[in-house]
Formats: sequence, C-alpha cells, structure tokens
Amino acid sequence: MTRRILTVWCPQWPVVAAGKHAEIAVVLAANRVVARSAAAAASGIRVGSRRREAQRCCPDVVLVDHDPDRDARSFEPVVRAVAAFVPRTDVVTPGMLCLDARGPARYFGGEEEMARQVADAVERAAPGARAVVGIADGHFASAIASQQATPSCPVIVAAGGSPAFLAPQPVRWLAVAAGRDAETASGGPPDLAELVDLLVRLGLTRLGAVAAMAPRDLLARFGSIGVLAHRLASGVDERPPQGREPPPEWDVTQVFDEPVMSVHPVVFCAKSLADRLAAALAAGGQICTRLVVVAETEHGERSERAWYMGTGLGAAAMVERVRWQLDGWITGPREGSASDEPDASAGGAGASQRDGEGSASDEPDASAGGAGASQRDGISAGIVLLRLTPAEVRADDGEQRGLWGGRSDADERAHHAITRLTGLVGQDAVRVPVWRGGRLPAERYGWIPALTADLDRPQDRRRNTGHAAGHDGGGGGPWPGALPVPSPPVVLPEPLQVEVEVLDAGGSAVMVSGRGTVSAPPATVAGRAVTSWAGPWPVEQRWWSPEHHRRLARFQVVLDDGAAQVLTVERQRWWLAAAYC
Amino acid sequence: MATPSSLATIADHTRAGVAAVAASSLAGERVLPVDEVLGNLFERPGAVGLVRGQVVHCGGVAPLSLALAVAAGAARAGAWLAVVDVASLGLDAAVEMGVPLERLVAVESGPARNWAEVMGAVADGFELVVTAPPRSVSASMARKVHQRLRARGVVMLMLGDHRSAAPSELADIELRATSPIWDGLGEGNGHLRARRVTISASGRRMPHRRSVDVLLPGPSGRLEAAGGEVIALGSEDLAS
Repeated sequence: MTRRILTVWCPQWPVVAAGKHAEIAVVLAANRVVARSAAAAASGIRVGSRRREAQRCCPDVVLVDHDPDRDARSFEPVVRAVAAFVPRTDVVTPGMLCLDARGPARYFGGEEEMARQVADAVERAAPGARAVVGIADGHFASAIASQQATPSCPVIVAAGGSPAFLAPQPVRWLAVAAGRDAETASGGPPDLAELVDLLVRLGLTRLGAVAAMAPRDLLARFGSIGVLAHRLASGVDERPPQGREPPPEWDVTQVFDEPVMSVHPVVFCAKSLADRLAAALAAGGQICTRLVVVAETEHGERSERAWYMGTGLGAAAMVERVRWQLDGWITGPREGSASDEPDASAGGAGASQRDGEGSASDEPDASAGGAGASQRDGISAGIVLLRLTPAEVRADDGEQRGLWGGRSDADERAHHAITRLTGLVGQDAVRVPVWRGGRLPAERYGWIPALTADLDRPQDRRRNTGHAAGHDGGGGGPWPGALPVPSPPVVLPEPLQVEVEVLDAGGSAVMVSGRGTVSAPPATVAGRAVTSWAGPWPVEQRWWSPEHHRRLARFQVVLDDGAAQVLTVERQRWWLAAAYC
Repeated sequence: MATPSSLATIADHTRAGVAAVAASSLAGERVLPVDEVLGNLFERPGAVGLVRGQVVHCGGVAPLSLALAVAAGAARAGAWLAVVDVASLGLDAAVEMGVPLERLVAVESGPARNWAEVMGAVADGFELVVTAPPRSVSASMARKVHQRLRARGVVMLMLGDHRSAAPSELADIELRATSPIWDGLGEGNGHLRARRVTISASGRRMPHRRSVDVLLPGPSGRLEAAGGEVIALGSEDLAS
C-alpha cells in the first residue's frame, strides 16, 4: 500500500521570511540570488544570477542577505497552522513540509478540499506566502506536483498515477528530492546535482527515460545515487519497502540539570547527540530519513517536530534542524503571526503527535503543535530535555571516498570543526574568503560566513584565473592598476587603517597634487626614515557615483629597518594600508 | 567527449584526488611536508618536514610571510589551515605564497578566554593553525592549548609580535627572519619585487642554530631560494 503524501511548498520562502514579498526584492547568498519576489521575477531576475545582473534588470531592487535561521524562524507559524490539520507533519526544509494525507483527507471530505484548506491556513499564517499544494503517492511525486501547482489550484495525482505523472518531467527535478526547488537545482547535494548534469549530457532529459533503464545498469555506472535516481524517477518512493520504525532504544536524550534558556548551549549538546546517533546508525548500516526532535522546558512546555529528508540526514543536518526548531521556539515567531493559531490548551498535546494520528485529526484544535499555548511568546522556563528520535531509517547505501575529487577525510573533519566553531563563536566569526576584485588591497577579497558557503564548491569563491597577479586577464577580470606582485601579507581593512605623518626632507608634509605629482620626495614616515619609495599610483574610483567616488594615490615605501609598506593618500591625509611583514 | 574543458576537469579532479590521497596518507605520518627551500631548517633524522604537534614561532621582520610560507607546503598537500585572530591577513599574498584558499578558514575568538576554547575546537578539524595569541592568554592556558594540539597532531604557527609573554616559551622551533633587503624599489620609481632575508631556526631540540637565505617573497610572490643575481643586487643596495 503506497502512502498518499501532501506537500505544501511556499515558493521563494526566503523572500517571504524577510517580509519583502510585496516589493521588488531578492535574497542574496554569496552574491547570488537565492530567492526573489514575484515582482522581481516579473522584471526578469532569475534565481542564481549575480547581484549585479539583478540590479541591471531592476535598478531599485531591494537586496536582503540570506539568513537560514530567519527562514526557519518565520516558518514556524506555517508549521503550526498545518499541524492544526494533521499532527504528523514532516518539515523538509524551511519553505516545504509534507504530511500523510490518507486519513485526514477522508475527514476533510476529499483530497481537493483538504488541499484547499491547508493552503488557506498557510496563507493566513504567513500572508503573501502563496503556498502551493501537491498530493501524490510518495514524497518525490508529491513534491513535484506541488511545484506545478498554483495557489488557487492544487495538483493532485491520482493514486497509482505517479509513474505516468513523472515520466515527462525534466530530470533536473531530481534535485527536489533534497528539498530544493527546481530553479536552484544546482544547489542540491553535490553528487545528485552532478548526476543530473551528467544525465542531461547523456541525453536522458526526462524522468521517464531514467525510469526506463534497468536499475542494475544505473547502479553499475553511478553507484547508489543512480539507484536512488531510478527509484525516484519511477515513482516508487525513495524509501525502500524494507524501511521500518526503528526500535525506541535508538533515541538519544540529553537531560540538563541546569535549565538552559538560550539556543546555543542546547545546539551544542545536540551536536554530540547527533554525532552519537549518526554513529550508532552507521554502525548498523542505517541512515535516518525522518528525525523527530523533542525539547521540553522546566514548566512542561514541549516542542516536537519531525524533519524529513529523503536522501538521509547526517549529523550536521540533524544539528541544523535542531537549531531551526529551537530558534523558532525559543525566540518565538515574528509578530503578526500568532493571531491565527488555534487555541491549544492541552499541555502535553505533543505526545499525541506520534501515537494519536487518527484521534488528533478529529479535534484539530487540541493538537496545534506540541508546545501548547505558551508557544506564542517563546518559552517561560529553561530547557531541561532534548531528545532526538530516528523515526524512519533505511539502509545506508554507503558512500565511497572519492579517489578522483570528492571529499577526503581531512575535508570531512574540517567541516565538522567549522560547524562546531560556529556554534562556539557565532557564524560571523568563522569565515572563508571569497574573491571580489578591486584595485586596493583591502577590496580584493571579502569574507563570508563559512556556514553559508558551499565548502564543496570552492570554485564559486575562487578567482577564475587561479592566479592573483595584478595584470592577468581571464574570468577573474583584469584589474589594471592593482598593486603588482608580490602582494602585501598584512592588509589592514579600512576601519583599522592608521593615519601616518609623511614628511619631506625639509620637515613639511608631503602633498600629492590633483595631477598626480608629489610636492617633494618623502623622507620620513611616522618618524622613520625612508630609504626608497615609489609612487604616486593614482586611483580614481566610481566617478559616476557621488557617494562612492574616491580619489586616492598609493605609494610603496621601504623604511630604514627594512620594513616595506603600502601607504595611501586621500584628501591629503596619509594612511598605512598594508605592510609586507 | 574529450573536449579540452573535460580534459581540464579530469586533470583538476586528478590533482584534487591525488591531494586528497596525499592528505589521507598524511594523517598517518608524523610530519607534514614543507617547501623544499625550507627543507634544511626542518631536517630531522629520517624525515624532513613539520613534525605534528609542534609549535613553530615565527618572528623577526616577516612573521606573517614566514608563517604562510611554512604552511603552504602542507596546505597544498591537502591539509586545512585555520587562521585564528589574524584580522589583517592579505589573501593575495597567501595565494601567491601557494596557500589554497579553499582550505583556509578564518576564525575570530572574540573575548580572550575564548581563545583557548576556539583553539580546542580547531584542533579537532584542522592540521595547521596560524594564530597570534591574545595578550591576556596566561602561560598555563597556553600550555593547556599546546597539550591539546600535540595530542591531536596539529602544527601551530605562532606569530611573534612581542605582545604576549607567555607563548614564546612553548615554541619547539623558533624561526626568525632577519636582515631584509628589498629589491626593485628606487627613488620614486620601480616597485617592490623581492625581499631577501635570512631565516634562522633554533629550538629546544636543535643543537645548532641553522639558517638559510631565501627570497621571501620572490618576484612571483612565492618563497624562493636566494639566487646569485639578487645577492648582487642586494649588495649594490647596501653600497648605495
């Protein structure tokens, strides 16, 4: 018996979460558009384009930085609204959730009626979300169906119709299995995205063509990911039939003797729980596809959420979901969303989520989320318990360490350490470099939080030429007028630059004229004698923009103790910009 | 199928694969590779390289260049490099020195007592760390961190800027760059091209002070052995 799955998808959720869905707005991560509002789409902005391209399409587009925590936090009201219908709701990712539709559909008088009611509830909980609903056999088909639905018209694939429904769809939608929408298909797990790319190049552009192949050929050629693709494409769910409820002793629980009020320490404990759970599952050759996270406070408030990921949740993904859930719970949803929440009075309502599937749907009001009424304003006491339950596991297809590319053991350990460090000092303090380009040393590279960067795709962050010389052409763009190689190893960001006094032999300040000539050779810098120097190398930047216009000149100097420095002079003030030390 | 671009991709993958294999085989080794120009300084009976778990203090006139040059060899072979509390790292210089930026992560520890915690977390995932310990780090805390790093086999490259008293006593190897001579810059003309320095190494387990003359950086931005030409230029500079 196959399951009927209903998927609710809020397209372009990051924009809605940022509250900008009514404007021409885009959400950017690492300078690329990850989501855009409907108005922005109408002016031609595509997901995946660069910031500058977006601004070219629409000059006064509103730019918002991507914040996955904000997405998760604002999704919380939506989850609660849907949980009012069906207690057993699986969140796939902020913006997408799915639930088992078979029982509730009967109660609500048919699948179509239920789909409409769910969409209405989501629209009330998050105005402007324009949620779309798809119903089909299995998670994957249902997700695809939701992608084709419109807010007013859900797509419902009849029971048994999934293979026929999927056959004409393009293969790039395989990436939807990982909870991404089709436009950002390249953002899926790297191997799935690579497989999609390869399949297209092989001429297999439709899911039907993939489904028509023999699974063993796909296994032989692509490994387990090929089998997964086949299973998805042929409308069988990604969960193989032998999937079963795991025994309760696999739960991992952390009890806090001291109640904890903030998110970070709990997430930190979740990290060790997740590691333990993932290790225990791995020892049995299993991987978790549905994880239930339970947190309880001292006053008995309770938050229980199920998280689903067809491709399996690793330890890092589990921690991320715990963080999303707790963030939404502790910090509380944004204002304006609480009014539509059903009045849940039962404090222990969460307990009914797992065992009371049928009874809970009789009384939707009693089962709103796990946490009871106090969920509205965060929590009233510290957290005393955190439990991770693997609610669905399947055999792990295994992952072969790549000889030709792919992740090495060292990479894996570094990724773990990055997650841990981010938990320790915050995401803005753990950063990786990204190439930006520029003529001044401080402009050439920027830093982005390591968590938001795709560490498996470093080429996105690297200068394309692979060499940082000042005069080379190529994809990184030439920057004529940049400092010549070798570059200074100490580059002071602008706020840290130190003003220095540069005097000529006569003891008066050295000036640079508008035409780029020096009044006299510099003799001392901050009291130290200059032995050799070169300059001025003038830069005039963005003369077209009054607020960004800059004129400055650079000098290289070597001082008597052998120290070499880059000085800039702007409006007759000298700054130490970089040093070769 | 074998278009130039696909060949380039294959070559890329091969290189990455070899690096990954090198890294995983590095895991079992007691030493991390260093640039052969510095080989003389890191020569030990039976092996040449950075011994895992050691603290290398980089001082003198070019601490950061020196640390990047030492780290580049191992980072190229697949090791990850953490840069803790160095706010002003010039990434162009790091790239020119041969440090792959895709395996470089910068961390700011914030208030000083966090430094030890951050270093502990870094020790679990990175093989190299470049850091300037904050002034407030006490000797005992620094020693604790050192023990953790040694247990994990992490090489710490400590930037010596004479701010903190405690850590320099931890150093297993003390590198100093001295007598810098710049080439390429004149009186209002030219540009910095190369710097010749003498790097000397001393340490607890090193009976004799060793030294080597290098270009740090050379004309390409990399560490290079000092050739005859630059010596001549250097002496000219001295004469003038």
